Amino acid sequence: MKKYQLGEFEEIVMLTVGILYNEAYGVSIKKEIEVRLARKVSVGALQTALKRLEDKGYLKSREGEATEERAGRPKKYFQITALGKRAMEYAKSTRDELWSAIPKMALKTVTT
Amino acid sequence: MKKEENRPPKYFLKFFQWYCHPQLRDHIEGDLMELYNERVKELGKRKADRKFIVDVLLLFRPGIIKPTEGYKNLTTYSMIKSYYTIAFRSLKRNKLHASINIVGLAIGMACCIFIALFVQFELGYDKQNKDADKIFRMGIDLEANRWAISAFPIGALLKDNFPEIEKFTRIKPIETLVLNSNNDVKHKEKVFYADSSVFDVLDIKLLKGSPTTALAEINSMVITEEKSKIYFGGEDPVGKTLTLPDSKTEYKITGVFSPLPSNSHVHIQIMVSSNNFEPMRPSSKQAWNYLTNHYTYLVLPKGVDYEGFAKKISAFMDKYQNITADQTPNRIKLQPLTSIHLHSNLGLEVEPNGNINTVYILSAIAFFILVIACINFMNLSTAQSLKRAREVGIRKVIGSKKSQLIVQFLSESVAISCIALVLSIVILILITPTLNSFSGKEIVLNPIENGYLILFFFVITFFVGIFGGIYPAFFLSGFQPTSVLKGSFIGNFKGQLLRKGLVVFQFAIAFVIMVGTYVVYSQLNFMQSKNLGFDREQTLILQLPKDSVGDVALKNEIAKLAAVKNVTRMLEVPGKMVRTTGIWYEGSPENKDVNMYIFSGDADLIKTMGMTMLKGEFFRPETKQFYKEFVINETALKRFGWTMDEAVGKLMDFGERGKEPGRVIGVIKDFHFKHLHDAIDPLVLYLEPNFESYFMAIKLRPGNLKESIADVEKTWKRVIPQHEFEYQFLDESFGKLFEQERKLGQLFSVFSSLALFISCLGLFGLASFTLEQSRKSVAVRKVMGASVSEIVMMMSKDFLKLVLMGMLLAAPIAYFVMNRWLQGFAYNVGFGWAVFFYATVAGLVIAFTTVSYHSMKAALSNPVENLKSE
Repeated sequence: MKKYQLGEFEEIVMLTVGILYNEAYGVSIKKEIEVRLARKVSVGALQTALKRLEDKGYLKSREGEATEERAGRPKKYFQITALGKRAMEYAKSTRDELWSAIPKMALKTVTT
Repeated sequence: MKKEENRPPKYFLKFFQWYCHPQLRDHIEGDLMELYNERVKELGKRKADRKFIVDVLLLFRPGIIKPTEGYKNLTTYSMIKSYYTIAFRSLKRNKLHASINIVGLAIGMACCIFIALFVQFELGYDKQNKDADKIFRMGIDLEANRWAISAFPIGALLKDNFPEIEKFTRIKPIETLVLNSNNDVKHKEKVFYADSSVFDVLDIKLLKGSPTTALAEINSMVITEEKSKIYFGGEDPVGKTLTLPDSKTEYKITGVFSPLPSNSHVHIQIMVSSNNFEPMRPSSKQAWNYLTNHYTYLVLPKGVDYEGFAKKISAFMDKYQNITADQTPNRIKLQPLTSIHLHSNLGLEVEPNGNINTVYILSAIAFFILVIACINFMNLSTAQSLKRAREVGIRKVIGSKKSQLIVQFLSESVAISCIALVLSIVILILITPTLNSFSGKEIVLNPIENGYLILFFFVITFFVGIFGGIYPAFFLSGFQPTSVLKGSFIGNFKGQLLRKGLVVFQFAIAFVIMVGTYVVYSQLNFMQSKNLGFDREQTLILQLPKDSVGDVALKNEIAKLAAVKNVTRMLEVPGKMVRTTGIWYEGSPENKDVNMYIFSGDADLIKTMGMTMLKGEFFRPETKQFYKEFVINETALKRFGWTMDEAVGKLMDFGERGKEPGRVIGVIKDFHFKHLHDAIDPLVLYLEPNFESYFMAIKLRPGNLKESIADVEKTWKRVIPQHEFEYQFLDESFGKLFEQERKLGQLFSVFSSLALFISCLGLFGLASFTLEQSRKSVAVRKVMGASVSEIVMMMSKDFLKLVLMGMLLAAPIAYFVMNRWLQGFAYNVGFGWAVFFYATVAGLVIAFTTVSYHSMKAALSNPVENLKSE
């Protein structure tokens, strides 16, 4: 079970990085999450998550261009690695498995 | 201008830049700036600022914050870690060499630290006194003799006449029996008569009682807690009494004091009021006539020219005593308190002192032992250079600078010396109690009590680490990466030469110390067995009591015993005579008296002590010519310029020539009446009417010694039952005179064996290395038909050559040093060349044994094993 560890926020970050594909860097990821999920994301939380994911080998990064509004600081673009992809798939499949294991009745009682 | 406005809060940006991990800093800062600029446009500067601050604060979390070591340290840290990893791996790989290195270093360091502590202890004598640099002990020169003593009233007289003298105190030790009030504890003790000022001047702290009153009253006594336990058990001694049976006085205990530290020139356990000793009383009329072992200490202002002051008081005393220009002037000397222990070797010292030369010799030995250990380290590291050469090559190719490699090897050697330090501390903890009891010192291994200890540890560890490591570090880091990596690197001839040189040096040092040991012992032996001009075997020495009216009776009774051959009474014990007085003789310079050693023994002296008369006769038993007949020794004869034939009948007298001078009746053969350090001086013997409180020598017949002594004791008990019977053997008491030489000899032998041991450790390691290198050549030789003994000889020859060379080099140094030492003795054994022979043979045998383990192993190994690889 410990094979792929991916927290909830980490999963969101991974997915977002996937969505943004070549354009995933700090600010764009933050904005994407904020827009899509309508939740506030602090720079700190996001950067920590990105660093952790990079350390785990789920993401890899490359230096990007430096623009004026960034006060000459380079962007750091993130990309999902093969391992990261597997981790995401694993997360999804475990979730699907769990979903499919829920008896129909249980869900019905919830809705009523 | 617009850009100026769009600056986020400066200090928060700085704060962020400070805490952020450098790897993350740039792009996160970029993100922050991008967001900030957007927010400024959308929300305005104030809101953007606030949000920026929130972001910065939220970023302050683990993962973002840089590690405490900092970014730069990170790589150096891992480099150093790698240094140590490699160092420990190479230690592990060469367990033998590593243990030789570490054990050798540890022994050397333990020696060195111990000696450093010893030297510190010796140098620290009396320094703890609060006025250490202001206190001076008075001494006096009489003729050629220098004494540590002074006249009783001189302190008070000088104090009254010289305002410079702040305070003074006097102490006068006596050996006497002490008895407690229950009559059940009785010991012989050294008791000091002392002035009240002793507490202040000698800085003696009273635990109970007041310093002003404790010794003020007659019959008052102060003791240490240690003595209190002995005489009173656990009870409070104050108010109780102790008796000195010899003087039949009962003393009241008025205080308890803590003894002076063990590194003091005098150790006092019991003090009684100076008022109890007649000559020390201010009212005493006879006080000037005494000159015995009595010590005066003056407290002078700081930085005073004490030698000049001593001249001033000498001149004052001349005037006071009306000494005219043609008389011998007073020569009073002052010694700084702190110099007494190491620099004073006067007559009648209160306790035997140390010797600055011993301190020098030991420091030199400590240093050289450490050097020997360091040389082992150097040799083994350079010998192993082959094994480390590849590592150096790789490191250089990867980009190590030479300086970095030097740091690497130095830190390696410092690490090894740290391990050795730990081991040496263990050794120190184990040996210090033994060495303390042996040397009679109190050296503590407690860093809290002795802060210098930590300093010694540091200094010695770094000295060893750097000194031992510096050459290998330069040597190893100097390899050319190309030649090393190509594999064409074979040894280094320069290195080999240096290694050999170092072995030579090591053995040279060991050889000097060995020769030193031999010379010290042979001198010791010489002194103990030298013909002293008198017979000291089977001779008992008793000290006669002071009030023994019946000393003749005692002598006569003892002489009747079957076990006793002869009995004599005499003034002093030969070997440690110190009495001098002015003697006038026919033809003395300017017809004045000359200060000369004097001695007195009764008619049986010659027989009992086995002395020889050369001319004339000794005192006859029935003579009543006390102080009127003289016997002189050969040296005196020569000094007076007399011939043997004219000597008998010459006039002689005590002091100035009297109305009826005495006559010389005989010439006695020279005998050693003083320490063998000193040449024989002129000696005048005379006859005393009685020998109260002097000595009795009893020559026993061969036989059961115990029974003979018991017989003597019985007789003593019968004649003078009120006195304790105590005896000493003459040869034993004589042997005690050589205590210092014996200790030096023992120290020498300990250190010489250590030096030799460490040198051999190094040789052992070096041999194992060299022989490992030549395994193949040995195998080939064996295959070709060489015998085991031939191979062993071949392998050992090289090493023995080095050892021999070291010894040849050391011989002149050893000769020079030890000859100088021997010059300090008026009668020395002389420098026998045989010692070189013995030391060389011993050195060679030990070295051969050391090397032969490996050469035998090599020679006995199966050639197939060594040849099949490759």
